[in-house]
Amino acid sequence: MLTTAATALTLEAVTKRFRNGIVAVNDLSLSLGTGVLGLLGPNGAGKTTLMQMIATITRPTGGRILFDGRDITSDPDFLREKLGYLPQDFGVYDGLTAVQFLTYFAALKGVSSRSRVAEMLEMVNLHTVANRAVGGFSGGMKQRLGIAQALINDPALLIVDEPTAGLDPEERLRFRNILSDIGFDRLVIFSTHIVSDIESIATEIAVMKSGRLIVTATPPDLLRAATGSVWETTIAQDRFDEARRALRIARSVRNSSGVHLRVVSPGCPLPGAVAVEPDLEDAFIYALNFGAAQ
Amino acid sequence: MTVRRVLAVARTDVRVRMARGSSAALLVALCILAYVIVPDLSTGRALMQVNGHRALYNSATIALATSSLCAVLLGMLGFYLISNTIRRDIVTRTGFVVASTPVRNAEYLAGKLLGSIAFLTLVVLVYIVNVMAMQLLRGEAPIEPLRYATIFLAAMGPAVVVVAGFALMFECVYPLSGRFGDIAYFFVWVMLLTIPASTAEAIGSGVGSYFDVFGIAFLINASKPQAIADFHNVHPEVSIGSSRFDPAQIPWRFDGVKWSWHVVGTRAASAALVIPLFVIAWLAFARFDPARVKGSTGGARGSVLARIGAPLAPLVRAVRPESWAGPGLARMALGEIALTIMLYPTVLAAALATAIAGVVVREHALRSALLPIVFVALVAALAEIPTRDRAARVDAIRSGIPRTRRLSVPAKLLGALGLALAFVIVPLARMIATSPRDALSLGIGAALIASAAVGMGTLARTPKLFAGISMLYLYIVMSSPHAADFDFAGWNGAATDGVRVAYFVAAIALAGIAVLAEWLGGRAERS
Repeated sequence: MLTTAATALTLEAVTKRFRNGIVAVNDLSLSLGTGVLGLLGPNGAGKTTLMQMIATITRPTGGRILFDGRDITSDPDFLREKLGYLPQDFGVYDGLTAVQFLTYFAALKGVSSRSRVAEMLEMVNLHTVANRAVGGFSGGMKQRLGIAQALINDPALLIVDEPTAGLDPEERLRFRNILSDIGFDRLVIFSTHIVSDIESIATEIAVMKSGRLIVTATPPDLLRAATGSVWETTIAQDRFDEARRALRIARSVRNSSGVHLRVVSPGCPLPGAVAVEPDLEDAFIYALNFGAAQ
Repeated sequence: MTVRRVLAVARTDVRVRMARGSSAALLVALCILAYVIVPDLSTGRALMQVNGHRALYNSATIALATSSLCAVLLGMLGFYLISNTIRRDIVTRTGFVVASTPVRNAEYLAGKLLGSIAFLTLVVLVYIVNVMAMQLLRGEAPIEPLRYATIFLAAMGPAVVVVAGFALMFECVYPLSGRFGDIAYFFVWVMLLTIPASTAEAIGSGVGSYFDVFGIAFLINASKPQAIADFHNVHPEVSIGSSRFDPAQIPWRFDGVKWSWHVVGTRAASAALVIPLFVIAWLAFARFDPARVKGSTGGARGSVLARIGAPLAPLVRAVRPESWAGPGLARMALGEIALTIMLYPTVLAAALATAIAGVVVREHALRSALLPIVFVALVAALAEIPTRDRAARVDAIRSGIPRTRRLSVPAKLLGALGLALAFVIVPLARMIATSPRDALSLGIGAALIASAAVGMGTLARTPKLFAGISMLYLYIVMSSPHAADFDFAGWNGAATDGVRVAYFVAAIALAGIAVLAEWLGGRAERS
């Protein structure tokens, strides 16, 4: 559970089965307070569908989602008043200026203060281009505009779905810093499949695979779980293909003496392999492949 | 419902529409339309005639005639112009954000409806200004702005409101929110056009005048009483639209609409048709739920045309269209045909059915029924060819393949022509034997519809411009069996050699527009 604050969001056996029979989210339960939850999982794990259900865009086909004790499936407006949402691949209306775009979403969220729009643009460092058409913005600028619209109503729950996809390293860092700054007194759910996006800001990490929640833990606990399961060794070049098929390789570097491997395995994977300290990427691979489903 | 939210949605909708380059093109088109629709009397043509007497160019005549013509055009083209307002929010994924806000479905939809009405009203206002300018240049009486305002409000008000309502409703109701809906609306438009006209004979009492969206009954009821009185003829012939007049006849002065509560009531009742349309839209609106919205991920429903074609998948697999594509213009064109068949197997079945029907039906049925149906089917089959790469976001991938970018539009033109010919090949073969000149027209017609699909689609970056204009044009062709000028595909047997040359030139010009638009678009993206 995130921090010591009162539970804000509770998911009880949430399931989403589509018309075509695909079960995107399967019997998932979770309780969250305030802080930043990093929702990790490979593509197709069900992260986006889970976030869409929490954001009241699509309804679960089973289970309940409670926010501050209220069932948002039957009373979605209760959460919508307090929600900020940045969807995956967020687009913009090219012809509008940043001010017009933000004012529009402010109006939809019932925010009438013009100064709030200016404040948000300043926070995401777009105030200098406030009156420029957003069609000419870079990907990073559009994402910052997206986070500005998500925050315009000062939400208690902020959901951001793969917000750093396609951003350059500088923009990713800027984006992480914004989320880190705002994650103190509210619940932020940050979905990604890139571990480095959340390792410095997440107070808790949830790992999803095939619609199921594999594990929820704080980053130190996740690291602790993988301790003793990460190994490094160097093998001959001609054994690499065989090793790649048989092992969970976190990283590989070719050098003059062969291929240096970093392997995630509960036991010693190869003769001569040396146990090393896991990082969060290793811990994610460990949870994904060797963690027990909830 | 909060007015502020409704207005915010409406204002943004209008802003987004006005920011598009196509809006500027639309305004230019309205200037040209006004210039053409109010002919200069010195050319021997007039806008309106009654019993062979041209109507004097005063404000009442020009406002009544131009508003009626505009309402009919707007009824068709206006729908395609505005029927992407919710789709836009799906494509940009801003709809997901909208869905996560406290905005109510009724507020959002009312805002979208209001935005569409405001945009169409703006279009009409620009048109009115242009028409008034034409009266200044070609009129025979002073401009009366109040008369313009009242007549346009009565004639066009219901059209603007109801067309906006239909566009919203079609976008919200799943089976109608795509190419199937675009075709289906054509039949709605025809129905709305013909029912009031057919019941307007009994002056003022026709039930159809309460459903007179495009003001046809209003036009007839407004002009006929005075014409009957002036010409002592209970069935005066009223014609609207540019036509030759006899200068020896004294011009007829139309004094204007005789307003009554009945007139106001029927116009208000026609406009009120928007209410059930809005209610249907509200009930059917999926609020961007990815499980219910077409084009979203996650088990959402596909298009109606794709679902209809699904059982034909084994037939498509048997002809292995995926192997047709390859490098070079010819293989790329084949690739376009293959992609169309794979996406919509119905196209393959329709082409085969047309070929069989082309063999078995009689010559008269071939011309009067089969070929019109074939061209309506071609509108649906060809409309997406120039825009589907961009819609599926594969245009950048395709551009990266050597020589593909340069050959893309020519290949689409050739592919569209190939598909069009596949549909008409059997009727063409029969007509070559019986009437070679009409067969030539049919070949030119196939080329015209192919280049129109690619030309308009590449220019507007949406299939809707082509769908709207071509359906309107097909209606005119079907309604004018003896007019040589409209016999673009020879099925009426009225086309002259000059008409054939004109349509051939038009086909070449539209192909040129496609190439030019792609080149300009590519240059803009590179810069």
